[in-house]
Amino acid sequence: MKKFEILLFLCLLAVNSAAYSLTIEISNPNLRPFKLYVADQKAKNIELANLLIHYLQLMPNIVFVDDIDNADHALSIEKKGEALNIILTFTKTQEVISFEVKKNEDNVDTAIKLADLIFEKITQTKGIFLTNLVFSMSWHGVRQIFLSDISGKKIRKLTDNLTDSVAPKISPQRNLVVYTRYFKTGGTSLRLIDLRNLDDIPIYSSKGLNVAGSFSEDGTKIYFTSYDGKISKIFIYDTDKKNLELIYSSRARLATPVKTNINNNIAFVSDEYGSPQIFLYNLESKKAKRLTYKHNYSTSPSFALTGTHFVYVAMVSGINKIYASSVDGMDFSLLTPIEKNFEDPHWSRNERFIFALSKDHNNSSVYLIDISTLRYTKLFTLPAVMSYLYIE
Amino acid sequence: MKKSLLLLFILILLSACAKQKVVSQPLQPEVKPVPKEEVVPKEQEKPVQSVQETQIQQKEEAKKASVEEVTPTMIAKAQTTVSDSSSEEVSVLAKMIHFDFDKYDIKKEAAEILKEIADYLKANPDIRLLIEGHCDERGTREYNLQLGMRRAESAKKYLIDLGIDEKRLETISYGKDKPLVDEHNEEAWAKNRRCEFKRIK
Repeated sequence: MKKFEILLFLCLLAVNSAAYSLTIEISNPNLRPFKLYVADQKAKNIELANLLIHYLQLMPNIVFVDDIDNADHALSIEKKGEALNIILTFTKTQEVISFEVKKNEDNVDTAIKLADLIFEKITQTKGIFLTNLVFSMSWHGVRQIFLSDISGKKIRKLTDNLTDSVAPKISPQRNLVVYTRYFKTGGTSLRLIDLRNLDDIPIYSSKGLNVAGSFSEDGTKIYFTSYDGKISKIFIYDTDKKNLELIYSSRARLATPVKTNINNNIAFVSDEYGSPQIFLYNLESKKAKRLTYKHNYSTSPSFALTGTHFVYVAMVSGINKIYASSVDGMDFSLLTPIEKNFEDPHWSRNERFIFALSKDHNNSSVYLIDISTLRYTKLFTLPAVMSYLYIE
Repeated sequence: MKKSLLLLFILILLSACAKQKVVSQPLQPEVKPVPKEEVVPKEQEKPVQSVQETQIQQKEEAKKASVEEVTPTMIAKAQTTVSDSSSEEVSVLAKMIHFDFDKYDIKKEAAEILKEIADYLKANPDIRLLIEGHCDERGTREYNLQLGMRRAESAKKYLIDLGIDEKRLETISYGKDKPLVDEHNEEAWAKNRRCEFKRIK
């Protein structure tokens, strides 16, 4: 694949990227989305231009408007010989940023990178178009592991196993995928795929259930649960040293051990007190602190990069709803105030959105929810039951 | 007389106090405040020493991952259902046991079925069994995996108590991934909260 090349050749009053804010503000309806006007495309039939518009439309905090006078930004795309000239105008200040894109073989890849740049300029927040999604899905009767881009346009089947493979987790560096493979005679194996060389190796297998929760932020460790029928255990697997450390064990049901981005702390789900709740666990002091009190059924935690907030699924009147909360419980909000089941919420790496999965009959859709405005968009739908969505 | 009056006075006073006490009873049972500070989970074992397991089981082989690109059309075609091996099972192993929501204790009806299965296993000592735990669609997938495993283990323990050798029984959980009935009502949920029994071939 040819190297992608963008020439940013005119940048007046450049936006200061160092000013990006990492403050998380959950459920603030006063925040309005950015209004974007797209001028009549003179390059209408060019796939790259169409893809770029499609990607920007996926963002819940960008609204496309028909009237330039009502817009915060205007985007025009023109063909310039073999290249494409993309001009972003800040309507209030008349600042102009121009991108020239040379012809490229991989339009999806190019559009993703270009969308990231434009999103950053418009919202002052890092783009998330390079996010990778992993999930499992039935493939001729056996569930396999899949890797997708944010739009579902590039989906790769990573496994071709004879038995079910589920619960994939991808590393923050997007180079490793850990997943659970079932044995026909009971028992499961945790396997690790290295996306750089496609090696798929077993790292831990036993009778019972072995399920990974997440990688550590540096990608060198995997947190997973192992249940042998008697005791639930949480292990850390070191991908460099290739060894295991048992960090916690309990007779309670333990699930979803995940990174928290809080020093030396992981989180997990336990039904220690009778119903599933989320706990923070300090790896040094070996002490756990209960984080969720508001609902009887709180599972699937995912932490923001700042470590100040997390999202989780609570079952309310039989419906799985997504809530966001600060770790101290003071800042708390329902993100899905509709009668629809959502699962597998994950915080985007720009702190602004939540990815989540929802099933509708035999279709599954991946949604992106703006944590501040609660606006949401559907990223893509597949004609299958997707499960165990995870993103990085 | 004075003593009697004093006694009467004390009795009236006590009676009044008793009445007051009844009135001031809270209407709701007392709810203890949930601890908000650090809690050490009840059942944690002693602080775990750093266990370095150098001998990781390598039963499975290393291999290469696939890189096949798939399209929605291919995905739709791949959603074919494969006939379940349970249909080949003898009638007793085709029976299932069911559970209450978020529970894994063996109910009376389930105990009767497990007794039948135990008798069958005793009459067929070469047969080994895989017990699959399943859940309904409510709740989240990873937590339901753990719940399904508890259900399978409950059934296993019950069979062991009925005299079946532990080595003949294996367990696994599919959580809510393999519903028996793909509907969204109480009747379907009740059918999906189950254990299935598969002969290990």
